[in-house]
Amino acid sequence: MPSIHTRLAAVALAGLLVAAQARADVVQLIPGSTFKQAQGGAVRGTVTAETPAEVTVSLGATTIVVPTDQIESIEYQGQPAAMQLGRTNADAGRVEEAVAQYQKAATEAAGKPFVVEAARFGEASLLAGEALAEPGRVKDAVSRLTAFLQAHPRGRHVVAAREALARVQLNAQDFKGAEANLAELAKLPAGADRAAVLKARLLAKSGDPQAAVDELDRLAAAAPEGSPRRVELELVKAEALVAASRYDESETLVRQVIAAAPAEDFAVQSRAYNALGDCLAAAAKPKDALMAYLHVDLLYAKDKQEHPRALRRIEELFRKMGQLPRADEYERRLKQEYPNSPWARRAQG
Amino acid sequence: MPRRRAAGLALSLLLLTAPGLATAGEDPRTAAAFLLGLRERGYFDLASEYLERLRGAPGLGEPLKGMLDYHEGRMLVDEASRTVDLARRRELLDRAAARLEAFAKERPDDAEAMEALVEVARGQAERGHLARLVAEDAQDPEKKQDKLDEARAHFREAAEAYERCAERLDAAYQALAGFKERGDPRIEQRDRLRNSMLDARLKRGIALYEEAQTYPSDAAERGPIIDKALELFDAMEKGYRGTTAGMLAQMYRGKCFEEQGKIGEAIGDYRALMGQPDERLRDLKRHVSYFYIIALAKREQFALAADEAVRWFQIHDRREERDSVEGLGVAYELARAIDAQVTPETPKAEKDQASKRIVEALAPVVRAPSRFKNDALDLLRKYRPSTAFQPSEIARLSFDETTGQAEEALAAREWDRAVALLRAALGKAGPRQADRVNRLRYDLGFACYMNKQYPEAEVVAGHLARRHSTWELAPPAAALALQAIFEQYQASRAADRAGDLERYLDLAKFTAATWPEREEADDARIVMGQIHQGRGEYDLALADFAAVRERSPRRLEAQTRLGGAHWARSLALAREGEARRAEAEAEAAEAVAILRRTLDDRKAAGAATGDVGFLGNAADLGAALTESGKADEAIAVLKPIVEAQAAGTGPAHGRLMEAYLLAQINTGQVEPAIASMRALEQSGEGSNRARLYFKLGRLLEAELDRLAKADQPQKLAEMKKSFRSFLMALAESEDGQSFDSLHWAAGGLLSLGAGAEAEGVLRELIEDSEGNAEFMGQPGAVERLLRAKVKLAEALRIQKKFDPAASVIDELTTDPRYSRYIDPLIAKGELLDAREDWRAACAHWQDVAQKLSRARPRPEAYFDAWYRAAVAYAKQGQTARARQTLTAVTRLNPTLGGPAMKKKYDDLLATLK
Repeated sequence: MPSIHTRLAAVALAGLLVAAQARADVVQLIPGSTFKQAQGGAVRGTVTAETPAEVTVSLGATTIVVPTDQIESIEYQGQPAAMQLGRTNADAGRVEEAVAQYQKAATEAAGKPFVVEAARFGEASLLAGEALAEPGRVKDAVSRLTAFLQAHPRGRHVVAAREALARVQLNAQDFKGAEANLAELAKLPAGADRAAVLKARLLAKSGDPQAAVDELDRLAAAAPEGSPRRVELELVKAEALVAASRYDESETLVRQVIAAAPAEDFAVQSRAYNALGDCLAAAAKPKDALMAYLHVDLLYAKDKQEHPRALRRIEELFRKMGQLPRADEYERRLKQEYPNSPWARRAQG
Repeated sequence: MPRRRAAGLALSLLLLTAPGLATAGEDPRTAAAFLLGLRERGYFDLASEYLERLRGAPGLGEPLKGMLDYHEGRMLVDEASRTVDLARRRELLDRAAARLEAFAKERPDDAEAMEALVEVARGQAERGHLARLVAEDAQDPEKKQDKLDEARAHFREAAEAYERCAERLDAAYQALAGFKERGDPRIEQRDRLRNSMLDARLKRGIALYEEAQTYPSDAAERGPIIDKALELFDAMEKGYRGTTAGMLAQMYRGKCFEEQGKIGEAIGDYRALMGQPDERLRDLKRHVSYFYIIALAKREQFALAADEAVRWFQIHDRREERDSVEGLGVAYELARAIDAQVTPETPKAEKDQASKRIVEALAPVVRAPSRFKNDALDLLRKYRPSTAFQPSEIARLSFDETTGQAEEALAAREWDRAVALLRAALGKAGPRQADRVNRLRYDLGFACYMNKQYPEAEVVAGHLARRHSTWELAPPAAALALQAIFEQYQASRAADRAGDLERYLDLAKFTAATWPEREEADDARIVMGQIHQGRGEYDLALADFAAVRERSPRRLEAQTRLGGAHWARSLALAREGEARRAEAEAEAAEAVAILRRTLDDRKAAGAATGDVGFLGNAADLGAALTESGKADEAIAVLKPIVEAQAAGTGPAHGRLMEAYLLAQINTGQVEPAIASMRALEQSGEGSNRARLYFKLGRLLEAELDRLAKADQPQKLAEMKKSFRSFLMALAESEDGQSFDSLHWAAGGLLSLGAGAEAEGVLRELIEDSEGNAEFMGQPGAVERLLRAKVKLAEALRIQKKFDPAASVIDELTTDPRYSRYIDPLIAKGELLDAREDWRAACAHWQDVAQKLSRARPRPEAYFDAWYRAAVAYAKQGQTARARQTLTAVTRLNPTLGGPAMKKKYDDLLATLK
């Protein structure tokens, strides 16, 4: 049996370790992360380097390299309180307050380049989200993201920033700008896949849906059957088929995705049913489209990304069908349940 | 159980038992959960459409495929519980019961079968609610009481049905009770049985509580029922404390306490439940807080009750919550609570404010059928008396005030006031009210219709239907416009009926084409079919009836009409002669096949034996079979249906009996036919009664003749007695009666020597006909009346009432309208014969013969007149003159108009030798 002193020493050591960990940077991993060197879904230590592909964390003599696609967020030791406030406001949909807090955090974190970079990215990505809902903010968002990319060309946020920029550009139909941006994204090892998908979307939107379909087929062939990447590619392909007015093929494809995915996989099912709704609406089948969107509302409302989109589409369809009380009800729910969603602020129609 | 939780649970359960995927279309793994979601949202139209898709999905497998009736039945009960249209509610409940009972019968061993029976019981309870609402609305005290009795019976039946279900569920649950290893699939089944059993028990208590509500508040019967319900809720609350079922039981226990005047205990229960923090109990708390407000008002804590009511609306701000029974109840309680605080001493400004709040609160209450509606209307009248009907008053109202008053006028059925207010509101509507204009127009169309301003209703509703066809109420607007045209068509013969029909057809075609999947389209198709059939446009009629959707609630009716249209077409073809005989027979066969198939479908759908559509279908099939020469088959089809009839009245029963009687007549079943005729007389109105009587009369006459020839005097006497009673029944029949049927009945009575009875029938017939301007205006009325009077003279004559008979005949012979007819003269001759005034008779018959001698070819009456003159000679002992008369006529007319007359002459000549 160990002596009382030995036990006290062990307790003291444990206390010291806890204190050391409390003062460390915390790399929070994405839910369901496959990264094995994490404890409790996070890696703790000192962030020593960040690149588009990975983040290096040192803990004593140990160095851990975390791929960026496994990272949800990083809480840096000694980061300004405004950083956390910015995140909290952003999560609550209070965009203006969040932007102000991130700006404040960037100023207060002078001398801490990773914190400044994270704050600037937080601000720019919020503005990008706004620009998707409000066309008047596109210019501001593009300039802020461009400035960010120029200031931090090799940081961990580059892939996400270029992706956000591409989305804004595609939404604003700036196809030339998007193409140039995606070419840069494709050069990054961690961004090549995203670039390919977005490129296909670009082709579909810019009037060459067949090229998009071909590209997506090529990408899908390389992705494992049933993998999330394959599902995503198939749903983007469905969009491209809609752009090519090949509605039946698009519908068949999306229904296959729905049938192949587990019924309780709300992330895939909600995206797929929304894609199905888009396809059927484009094919002038409003009632069928309504049924598809209603699946998201009634069965997969857990998906907070897709649910507001479905609510908006349902509201629009009910309005088109002249069912005004139902349309009003959906409009009210959208505003009530997602007051800060771009879909809630988006102009009707 | 809260809805979201229920939906979540249902989804998990369904996903656990996910069957294989369908090859295409809807995902069967989530279909049931999706349906549940649609139902809970109140999107019954979408749920119904979704079910339709599932039924049509080629790859849909079991168990979902076999469950569709069950899902549809549950959906219909849900829809019935929410619809404000009481007639539709009844229809929905009927359909739900048929679906659920059929499901439970077909799959008695399924776990869902017991749940289906619980739903059937729920349907009974909903019927109770329906009857209670109708009672609330009824103005006639007798009808009100009838409906309350009906409601009570339904609630009682529901309580009994729930009890039976609970016992069965409990037995099934007990069989699975005891320890089970984790992961054992029976755990899920056991839990489900337990939940269903608790649900059934709880609903039994609620049905008892509702039964008590059908008695007046001071009735002695109320107490024992409430005691029983309280006992049940108390046991459940104690046995299942903390569960949803236990909490629901606690809520209703509070309600029973309230009924017993124990307000403190009730409030204790309510507060305990309102204090539950779980957000998933939102639905439960919605009810509880409403009951709490009622209890506060009962304790005369009106200020607190009003505050709680306001809070209720702040928390329950969803549309379906506001529109629910509880929402309406809270609004009513709010108005009452404010009203109770207004006293003569209340300052005017506060009074005005209170008045405004009361009117605002009551506006939605008076618009929907609920048990608060009448009281709410009374309260509303107190604060807004109908003084604003003056145009000058209406002009002073704002748009919102005008629409508010219009809604109240609609609710109060003050149609003329509603029309004025709605017109004014439309005039006041500005761009900001654009989205409300169509609703106002719709209400205006409805108010005009109810105010019997049919052309206005047609114009307003027709405009909405055609110009705003994507608007949600456009299809009902089309239905309203169609009904308005129909009323115009019915209103007056002088009006442009052909034009009405054309407008009807035009709008009906538009309706069917614009909303092909809606029930309004099916209604339009059916009426179009009827119009086309009436016009002899059989191809169009067949297409209309056949186009009614497979899943339409009127599908079976449409199929019956389709069979009827084929039958009508076969008759039309048969009238065209031998060349089209084959076509006619093919059409008749098709009619019989469709009618038979539809009758089978009705049976399979669980149609009640007294169902009007079922009886009409059976009657059509029976008639078609009989007239196709298959009367035996008709008897085989109809006999079990006739024997199963409990009620012996009503037009549908009448039609059935007519068809049955027709089949019996055609198979020569005399006595059963007479029995059916008597049943028919009791069944009320009918359309083909006279035709049937003629047929039955002929059958009886033929039977009399047969018996006479067969020398069966006893049977002959019995048959004569039957014939006589039949004729009297016919004459006394009030329905389906016509001049011809009565005239024929009188003739029959005369043939039986029943002069007195015939006299009675004829006098009434003559009196009624002469006083009937419509009859007298018809072509041939004079001649028909003449024949009746001649028969009257005969009836008097055979009773030896010679003077009255002579008066009748004198009246006829002196009336210039009858101067060109021979019938009065023949009647006069017969009277002279009867009086044995042979001299006068001889002269009269010769005179008649002379009058007829100019006719070519000579009528039978001419030869008969000479014959009668010869008889008169003979009766005077002038046999030579008699013989001479007969031989002279025979010489000039060797055939004497026919063998019968020749035989008469020969027979008489033989006696004169």
